[in-house]
Amino acid sequence: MEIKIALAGNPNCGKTTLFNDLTGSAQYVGNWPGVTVEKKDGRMKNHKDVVIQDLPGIYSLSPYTLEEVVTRNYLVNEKPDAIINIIDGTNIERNLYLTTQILELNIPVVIALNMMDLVRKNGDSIDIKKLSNQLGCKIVPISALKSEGGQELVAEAIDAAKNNRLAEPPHVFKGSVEHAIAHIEESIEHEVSRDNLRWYAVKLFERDEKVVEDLAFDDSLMRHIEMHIKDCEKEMDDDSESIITNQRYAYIQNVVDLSVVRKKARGALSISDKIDKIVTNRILALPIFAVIMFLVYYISVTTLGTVVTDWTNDTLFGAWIQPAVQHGLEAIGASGWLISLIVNGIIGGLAAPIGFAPQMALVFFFLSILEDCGYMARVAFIMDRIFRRFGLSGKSFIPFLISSGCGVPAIMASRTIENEKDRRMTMITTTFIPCGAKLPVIAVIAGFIMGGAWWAAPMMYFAGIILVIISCIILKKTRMFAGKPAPFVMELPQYHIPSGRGVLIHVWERVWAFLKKAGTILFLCCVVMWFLGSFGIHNGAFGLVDSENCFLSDIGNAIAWIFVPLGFGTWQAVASSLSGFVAKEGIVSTMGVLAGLGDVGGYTSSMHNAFAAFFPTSIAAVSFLFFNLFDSPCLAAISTMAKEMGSRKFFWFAILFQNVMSYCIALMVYQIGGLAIGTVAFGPATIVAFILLAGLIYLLFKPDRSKTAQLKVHEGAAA
Amino acid sequence: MNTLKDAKVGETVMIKKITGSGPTKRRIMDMGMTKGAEVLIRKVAPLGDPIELHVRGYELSVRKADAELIEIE
Amino acid sequence: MKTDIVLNTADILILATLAILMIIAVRIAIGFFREKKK
Repeated sequence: MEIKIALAGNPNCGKTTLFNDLTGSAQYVGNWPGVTVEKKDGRMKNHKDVVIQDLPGIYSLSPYTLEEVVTRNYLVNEKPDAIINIIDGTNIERNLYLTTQILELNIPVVIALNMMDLVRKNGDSIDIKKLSNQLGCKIVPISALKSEGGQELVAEAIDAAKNNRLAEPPHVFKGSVEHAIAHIEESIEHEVSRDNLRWYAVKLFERDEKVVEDLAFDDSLMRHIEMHIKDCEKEMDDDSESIITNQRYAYIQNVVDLSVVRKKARGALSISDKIDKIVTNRILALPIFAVIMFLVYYISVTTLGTVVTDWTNDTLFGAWIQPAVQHGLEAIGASGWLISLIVNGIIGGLAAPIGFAPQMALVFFFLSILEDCGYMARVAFIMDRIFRRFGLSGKSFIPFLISSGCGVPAIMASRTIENEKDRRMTMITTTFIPCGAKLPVIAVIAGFIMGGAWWAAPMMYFAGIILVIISCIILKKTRMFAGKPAPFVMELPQYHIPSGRGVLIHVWERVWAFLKKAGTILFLCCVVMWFLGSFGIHNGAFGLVDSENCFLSDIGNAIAWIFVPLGFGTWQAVASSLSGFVAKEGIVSTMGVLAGLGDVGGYTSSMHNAFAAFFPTSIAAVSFLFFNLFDSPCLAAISTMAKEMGSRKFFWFAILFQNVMSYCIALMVYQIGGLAIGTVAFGPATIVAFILLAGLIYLLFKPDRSKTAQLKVHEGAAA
Repeated sequence: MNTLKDAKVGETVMIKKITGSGPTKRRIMDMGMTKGAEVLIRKVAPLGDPIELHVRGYELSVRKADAELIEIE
Repeated sequence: MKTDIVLNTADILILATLAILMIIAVRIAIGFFREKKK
């Protein structure tokens, strides 16, 4: 018979390390249905009949954040057989806050007191027996990082689950509060199950909006309950939510005073604090951050990364795989066109993104280390001020940063953003930051129009950043994304050396996700693209054709008119853009193929005439660049976004938004820019461009309804 | 009325009351900033906001605008 | 330069293999998109 054990605890308490320890690699990662919250479960090593359900790291079971709601719904409705509550021993008070709430659920609980190695190092001592007595449940000291105590924990948890060992719930609430809750319990005892009685009573006392909604009691019952609450509030001179929170912490304070002895004085500087004296120092913080990021990219991209990527492209594929497959196929007598499909179309097409994978792995590796050691929280802390201006928080910075390497892990990184609206907004805008695969296009266009300027790439990054800012401001004002900004109350966890295994699992998870996408979606698209680019109907017959007559050019020609106002209404430019849909590196390779130049890596002046057919004017090339940099990302990123978004509606909105945005921007660049430099004549399209510009400015500066409403709330509170 | 926003770096203060309502207030309290809790103002972020506090044995970052909701003595 | 397509045995074998790989790929790919639903 299967046993389900849930893992609950604060963020940064070592839950993930414990989960990895307990399940090995037998994990399944997905999303909780309909939301952007990651869902992880796995089977316990050595106990195949035990399923471990990892719950999101949460500080409380309030109704306000997605993670908390997802967790409480799971615990109340799906009732696991036992809960392992992980507590950070160096941070006991705040961790126990969640514990008091978990203990109200009438599910067997075993507490894993983690970080015991650090507790000992600090010289603190925790009387486990006393603590266990007070809380009413078993406590197992562990050190997940050092793999201490794991066996005992597993044994206790399974035992608790099998025997349904319920805790003797501690008496957290006192006096009139306890009275009021008891009254409420009496009033609702026939409406809810015995198991959840306590939980619901406390939540009703807090006027928990989700519980009220779920229970849907009739008015008379609600009024009766309200009466009890009001009486208590009057007596305690505080609102019910605050009363509960205060009492919980008062209780915890007591418990901790009795069982924990601390060596250091309160507020004394820990090692982490000493490190932070430098890292978040007023003057040194930003330079240090810049240096760290520079090093990460220098190693992963510029030096080591490029070496491995070039080797993968030139040697592995270019010198070994492609020729080998070519010879092999020739040897068995396959036809020329089929060989071309396999060697050039498929293998050639896949070589670019796969060659990119080593660089990505390196970037993920370093960023994982930075995340796991605690540095990223400091980054969010430092950057928050900037992001607050556009309705986001410092936590959004990390995905934007990662985007400069690749959009796929960036979208995945937005999981750490708590507010779902912010999370979605970050996912939609993060690909505006040019990724590594977009660099070839920038280089080629820069070469084409100005003989290659070194400032072209930085300028496009800058444009990307501005576009992100503009988009966020505009989106925040729409009803879809408006709302009170999420509270930015964030813990700065102690620095610790990340577990090597945790980092490698992280990196592997991301690289594998990318490779899976390459092996499937990109593979399919390469075949399709190759087919469309090599076959066509010429003189009434179907067969292999020259580039001008292939299906791709037919499609290109058919939709080229859409891009005429943007200046590049040629089928070659359109076809190249289409291939950008699959992989952004594909834009340049398609351009090369269509210009009859074969595989194109960078730009050389000899290419000028070949590309001139694509872009009638220089400004058209610029507009082409803008369009391809800011439209929807490559298929790998699109499918990542589909998975992480958790909602079809938002996914399609994202695609629509990105493509409409890039179209409008390209239009404005071509029409207004072209008008300014005299290349483009004034016409109806110009008028449209100006209207769009006006519209954009309006959207940027229009008053934010929700913000003004909030200001009033703040003023009301301060008064 | 003295709020956390007015406190200086290095000062240790005690929380008297949290004003406001809704998610922000709840979050502030959930993190341990409750009546009677001792708070040490550790530092201010390089760009001027948010502020880093030491409360209940750990480091917490709070925006100045939200710190205004926390009354202290 | 137009070429007629002539299929010999080797071609058919290869195409068959390709077709199978593609079907597998499609099934996995649909799996990606299914997770986003609901």
